[in-house]
Amino acid sequence: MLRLLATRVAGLAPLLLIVSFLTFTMLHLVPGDIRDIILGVDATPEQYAELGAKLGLDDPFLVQYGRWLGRALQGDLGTSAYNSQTVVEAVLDTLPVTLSLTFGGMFVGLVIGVPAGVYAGLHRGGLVDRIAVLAATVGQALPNFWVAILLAIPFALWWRLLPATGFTPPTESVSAWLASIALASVALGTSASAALARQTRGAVIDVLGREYIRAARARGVSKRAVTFKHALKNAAVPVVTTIGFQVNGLLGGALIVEQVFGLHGFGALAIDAVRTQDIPIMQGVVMMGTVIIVVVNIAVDVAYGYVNPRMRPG
Amino acid sequence: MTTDAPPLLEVDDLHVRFRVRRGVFGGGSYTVYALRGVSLTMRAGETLGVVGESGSGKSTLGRALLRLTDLHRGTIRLEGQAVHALKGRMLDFRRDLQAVFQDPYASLNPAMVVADIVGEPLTVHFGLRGRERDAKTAALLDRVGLAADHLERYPAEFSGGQRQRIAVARALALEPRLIVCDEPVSALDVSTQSQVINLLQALQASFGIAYLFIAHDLAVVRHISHRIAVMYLGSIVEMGPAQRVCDQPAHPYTEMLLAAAPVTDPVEQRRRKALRRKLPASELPSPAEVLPGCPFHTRCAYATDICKQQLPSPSPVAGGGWAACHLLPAAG
Amino acid sequence: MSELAASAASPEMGAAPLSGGARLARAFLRHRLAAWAALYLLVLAAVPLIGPHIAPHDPVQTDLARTFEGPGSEHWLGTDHLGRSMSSRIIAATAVALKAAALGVGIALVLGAPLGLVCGYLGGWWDRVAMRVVEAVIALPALLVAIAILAILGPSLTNAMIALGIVNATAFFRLMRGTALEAREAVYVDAARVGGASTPRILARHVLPNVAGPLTVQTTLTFAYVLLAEAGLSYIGLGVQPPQASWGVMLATAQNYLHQHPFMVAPPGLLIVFTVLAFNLLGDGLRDALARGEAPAGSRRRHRATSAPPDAAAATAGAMPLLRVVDLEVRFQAPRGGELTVVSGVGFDVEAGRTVGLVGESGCGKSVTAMAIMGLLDAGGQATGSVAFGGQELLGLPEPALNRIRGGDVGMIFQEPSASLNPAFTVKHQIGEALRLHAGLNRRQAGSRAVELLAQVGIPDASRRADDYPHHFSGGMAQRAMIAMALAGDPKLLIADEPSTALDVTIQAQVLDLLSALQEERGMAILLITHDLGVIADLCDEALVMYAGQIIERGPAAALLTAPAHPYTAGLLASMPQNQRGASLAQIPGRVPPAWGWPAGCRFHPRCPHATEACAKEDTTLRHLGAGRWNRCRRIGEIDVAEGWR
Repeated sequence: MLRLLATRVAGLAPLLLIVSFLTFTMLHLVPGDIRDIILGVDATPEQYAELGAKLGLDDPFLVQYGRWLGRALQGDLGTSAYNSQTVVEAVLDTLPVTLSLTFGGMFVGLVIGVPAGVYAGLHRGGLVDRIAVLAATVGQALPNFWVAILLAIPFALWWRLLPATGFTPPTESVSAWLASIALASVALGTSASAALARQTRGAVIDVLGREYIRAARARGVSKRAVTFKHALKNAAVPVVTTIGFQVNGLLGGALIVEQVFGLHGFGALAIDAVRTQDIPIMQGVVMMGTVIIVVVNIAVDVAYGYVNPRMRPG
Repeated sequence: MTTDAPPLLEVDDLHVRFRVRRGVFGGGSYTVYALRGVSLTMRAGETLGVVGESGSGKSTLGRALLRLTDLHRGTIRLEGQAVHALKGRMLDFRRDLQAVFQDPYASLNPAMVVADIVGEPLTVHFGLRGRERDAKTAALLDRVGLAADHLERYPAEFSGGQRQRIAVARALALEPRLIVCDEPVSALDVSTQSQVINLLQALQASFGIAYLFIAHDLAVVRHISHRIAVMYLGSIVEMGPAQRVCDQPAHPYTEMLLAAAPVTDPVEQRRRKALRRKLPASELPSPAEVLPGCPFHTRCAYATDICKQQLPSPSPVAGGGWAACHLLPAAG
Repeated sequence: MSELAASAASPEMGAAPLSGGARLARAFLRHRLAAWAALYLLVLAAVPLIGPHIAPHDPVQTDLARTFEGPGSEHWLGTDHLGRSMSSRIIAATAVALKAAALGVGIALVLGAPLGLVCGYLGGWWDRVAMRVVEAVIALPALLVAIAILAILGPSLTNAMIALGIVNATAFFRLMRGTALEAREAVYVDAARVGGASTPRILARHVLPNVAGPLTVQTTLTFAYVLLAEAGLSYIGLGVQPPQASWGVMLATAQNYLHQHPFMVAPPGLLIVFTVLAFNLLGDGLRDALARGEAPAGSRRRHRATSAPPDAAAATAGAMPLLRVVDLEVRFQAPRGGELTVVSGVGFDVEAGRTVGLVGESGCGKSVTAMAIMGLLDAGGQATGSVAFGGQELLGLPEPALNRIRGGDVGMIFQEPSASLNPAFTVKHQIGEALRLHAGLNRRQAGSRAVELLAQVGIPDASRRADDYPHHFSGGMAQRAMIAMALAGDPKLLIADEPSTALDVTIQAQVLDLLSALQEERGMAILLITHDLGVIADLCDEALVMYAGQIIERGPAAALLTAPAHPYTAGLLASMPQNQRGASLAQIPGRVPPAWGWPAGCRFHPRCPHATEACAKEDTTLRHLGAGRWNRCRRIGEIDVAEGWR
C-alpha cells in the first residue's frame, strides 16, 4: 500500500508542474499591464521601467515561469497585485471555509447517496428504487445555490435554528462550526448524493449480474453474504472513482454556495480577484484548488487500490 | 508444379513486434514478439490452413499479410510484386488480397446497410455509385446465397451465418486472387459452420481463389485445406499436405494439438485421450520472452539438451512438407 | 443468461425490418419522460425567437410605483424591487440562458470533438501529449478556472461562456478520443481498410456515424451542466450583468428580499430545475435508445402457451438415482410483458458416479436447465416440475437448505473461469470460503486445505499461487481453481457448464483430463453441458441432445454418436467435417428458433428433411426405444436419418 502511495505521490509532481505551467501561461495572456494596476494612471515612464525590472516583466516568458516556479517551490506564490497581502496568506485565510464546505458536501453526499444507491440497486424495480431514481434525477438538476437559499428560508430566517451568515472555525467551537456549514453542506450534498446514488445503484446492479456472483451462489454462499461481501466490494470500484470526479464539482459548488451564506472562502477571494484583475491571487487560488483535487484523487487512488487488487503495482 | 510463373504469394522471414505500453512513463512496458521469422509460399487457387493456439501468431500473420499491422522485418511478394513496403491506400494490392474476419458481428459496421458495406470497395476502387453499384452488389449477394432485397437492411437483422455471407460478398467484390480468412467459422454454431465452409469451397471451385485459412479447429482446417502450416509462438513449426500433417504429424506440437482436439468418433477419441495423457500438461509461455533453443522445448515430452540450446531448422518429412524439430533426421 | 439474450435478440423472425433511424426513434419514444422532456425543450427553444414578441413588458423597464406586486393579471408573476415585470424578465432570462448555453456547448464541441477524434484515430505521439494535457486540465478545479479566465477577459456573459466552453472541451475530447480509439480497433474498420478506404473516408463513413449517438448524449448533458454553471456565475455577479435579466441575477436579487418576499426565488429556480432536468432526461433517454437501438427490437409477440408432454422418467423402477429431473419447465418474464418458456418437459436421470452430457447449440436451453437445477435462475425466472437430488426435492427448497447443498453435495463450474472468480479476493480466500461453509473448517485450516486442493487440481507452486488474485491466473489455471473450489464440499455431483469452451484446445484437453481423473478418484457424477459433440465423446457415458428447450434424443454416448436416431442429431454430426477434403458438408437449413418462435408440433420440423404434415401438427414425446435409447422423432423406424443429409 505504501508503494502505491509513493507511486501516486511521485506521479503528482509532473501533474502539478503541467498545471502550474498551464495556469501561469493562461494568466499571463491577460491583456493590459499589471503595472497600470499597481502604479495607477499617473506613473512616469521611469517608474514603469523600474517596476518592470523589479518584477522581471521584460524577461522571456520561460524565464519568468522558472523564477515563479522557483519561488513557488519555496512556498512563495507572490503578493497580491491589489494590496500587500501575500498570496499564501490570502489563500490560507480562506482555505478553512472552502475545505469545510467541500468536505461537508462530500460527507452529506456519501452518507445519503451511497446507502440509497446500494438499497435501490439491491431492490431493483421496487418502490424505494423508483423513488430513489426519481429523486436522484431531480437532485442532479437542482442548482445548489438555489437549494441553499430554499434551505435558508425556514432554517435561518423563520425558525432561526442555524446562522444565516458567517463562519466559525472549528478551532473555536466545533458545534458552532458545524452549525455554520450545515446548510451549505446539505445544499452541496444534494447533487453529490444524487450523482453518487445513481452511480452506486448502477454499480450494484452491474456487479449482481456478474458471473462470479452466480459462482459464489453456486458455492452455497448465502444471498446476504454474497451481497455484502462479494458484491459490495466490487461495486465500490466505480463508486470510488465517482468520488474523485465529485470533488471537482463540489469545490466549484462551494465557491457559489459560500456567497449565499456570506462566507469568505475561495469564492469571495476569486470574485474580488476578477474585479481587481489580481492575477497573483487568482493563480494562487487555482493552484490551491488543484492541490485539493489532486490530493483527494490520490486518496481515491489508494482506496481504489484497496478495493481493486488489479490496480496494485507488482 | 513446373511453371515459371512466380507463386501467388511468397513470404520470407517475416517478423512482427508489438510494444505493449503500461504506465504513464512507460515503466513496465514490454515487447511481444508476435511473428518470429515466418516464411511460406502459396500457389494460385490453393488453400493453406494455419493452425495454432491463441498467442501462436496465426492471426498476426493474417493481419501482417493484409498490411493491417506494421512489419518489423521481412518481405511479402504477391504475384512477384513486393508489397511489404507499400504505403498509403495500396489500392492495387488490396484488389488482389481481401479478407473475411472472425466475428461477423464485429466486422460489419452496424450503422451501414448491406448495400453500402458490400458496395464500398466498388466505390473506392472503381468509383461505382447508385444503380450501377447496386446491380453489382445484388449480383454479389446472389453469389453468396442472399437475396437482393437484403440490400437495404442493417447487419443487426441477420443471423451469424448470414452476416458471414455478407462479409464473404464484400471480400469477393474486388475479385481478389487471395482471401485471408481469419477464423471465419469459429463464432458460428455447428449447423451454420457447414454453410459457410461449403460456400467458401464452392467459390474456390468457381473462381480459383486461394485462401489463407486461419483457424484453431483442426477438423475444419483439415477439411478445407490443401496444405497446413502449424504455428507456435510466432513461428511455423510444421508445414505439409493436410492429410499427412493430420495423420502423421512430424512435430511434437502438432501431435499435441491433434491429441487435444476432440472428435465425435468414440473409438478415435479414446485413442486421442490415451495419447494426450502421455503428454505433459503445460501452458503457452509468454510471447514477450524469447527463449534460446526450440520454442516448444518447455512443453515437449521428448525434449533433450540440444532442444534447449539450438533452434532446430526445417527437415523434410516423408509424405511431404517439413517440420522444425531436432528429433527428425537432419536434412540432406 | 447469454442463451436467453441470444434468443431475445431476434433477427429475421417476426421483427419487421426497420431502418436505423426509425428503430432509434421507436426506442426513444418508448421513454415517455424523455419524449416529454424533448417537447418541453422544443417549446423552450422557441423562447429566444418569439420571446420579445410575447413578453408583455420590457424586462428592464422599471416602475418604482409598483414594486413587489404579487402575481396578478397584469404581471402574472408580479414585479420585483424596481417594479419590473417578473414574467417578462423570466422570458428574457430564458432566452439569455439558452443562447449562452448554446454558445458554451458550441465552443466545447468545436474545441474538443474534432481534436479528440483525430488524436484517438491516429494515436501515436501527438495523442499521448494531448492526453497528458487533458489529464492535467481535468485535475484543474473547473469552475475556478472558468473564474480565472473571467479574470483575464473581464466579467461578462460571453466571456463566462467562453470560459465554460474551454473547461468543458475536455469532456468532448475524451469522449471522441475514446470512441475513435475503439473504432480504430473495430474489425469493421479493418475490413474497410482492406477494402481500400482512405483515412478521411473511414473517419467520415465508419467512425463518425457511430460517434454521433454518444456525441448527442454528451451535448445534451453538457447543456445541462453549462446552464447550471451560467446561473451560478451570474448569481455571483460574474456572468450576466444587471440590469440584464438572467436566472442567476434574478435569484441574487430575490435573495436580498428573502425575508419579505420569499416567493421571488421560486420562478427562476424552478425554471432552472425544469430545464436542466429536461436536458438530463433527454440525454438519459437518448443513451438508452442508442443502447437498445443497436440490437434490433425483439418481437412483441406474447408467449403462446406451449404445453409439451413431459419426458417420461427413466423406466428403471427401484433405487432413486442421484439426480432425477422430471418435467422441468422454466419460464421467464418476457421484457415486454407475458412469459417466455425457455425449457419445457425436460426429464433425465444422473446415476452416481456417471457422466451425463447435455449437448445442443446456443439457445437450446441447456445452461438454463443447469441453473434451474441449482436454483440459480436469473431474476424473473421460474422453474416447475421436479428436481430430486439424493431423493430430496430441490425445487421450492428454502434458501438455507439449498445453500447447504450448493457447493456441498453439488458443485458447479462455469464457462468463463476468469469471470467466475471474484476479482476482489485472493484465490485462497475464495476456496477457503467454500471450505468454511461446507467442511466446517476454521480460517487457518481452510487456508491450508485450499492449498492442498489447488495442488490436487494441478496448480504448480500452489502454496505461493494461492495468495494470488484471480487476474494473475490464466484461463486454464482459473478453471483449475474453480474446480478446486467445487471440490471443497466433496460433491457427489459436479455440474460443469461449458467448462472448456473458453479455453484453447490444449488447455481444454487438460481440463477434461483433470475432470475424468478426479471422477475416477472420487466417484462423483458429472453433468456436463457443452455444445461440442467431441467433448461428449471424450468424457460422457450418456448424452442428452437438446433442441429448442426439449430433450430430443438421449442414449449411451458412444451409441448415440455412432448411430444417431434423431434427424437433428444426425444433421449435426453430418455437418461436422470428417476426414474428407473438399467433400460438401451437410447443411441444416435455417437456424435454431428463439424461445418465442418455437413452431407447433415437432420443434425441428421446419428444418427437417423428413418432416410430414403430422410433424407440423402433433406434439412429440420422448419415447424409449430400448437399450437406453430415447427419441422424440415420430417417424423413427420409417426413415433413414442419415439419408436426409446427403
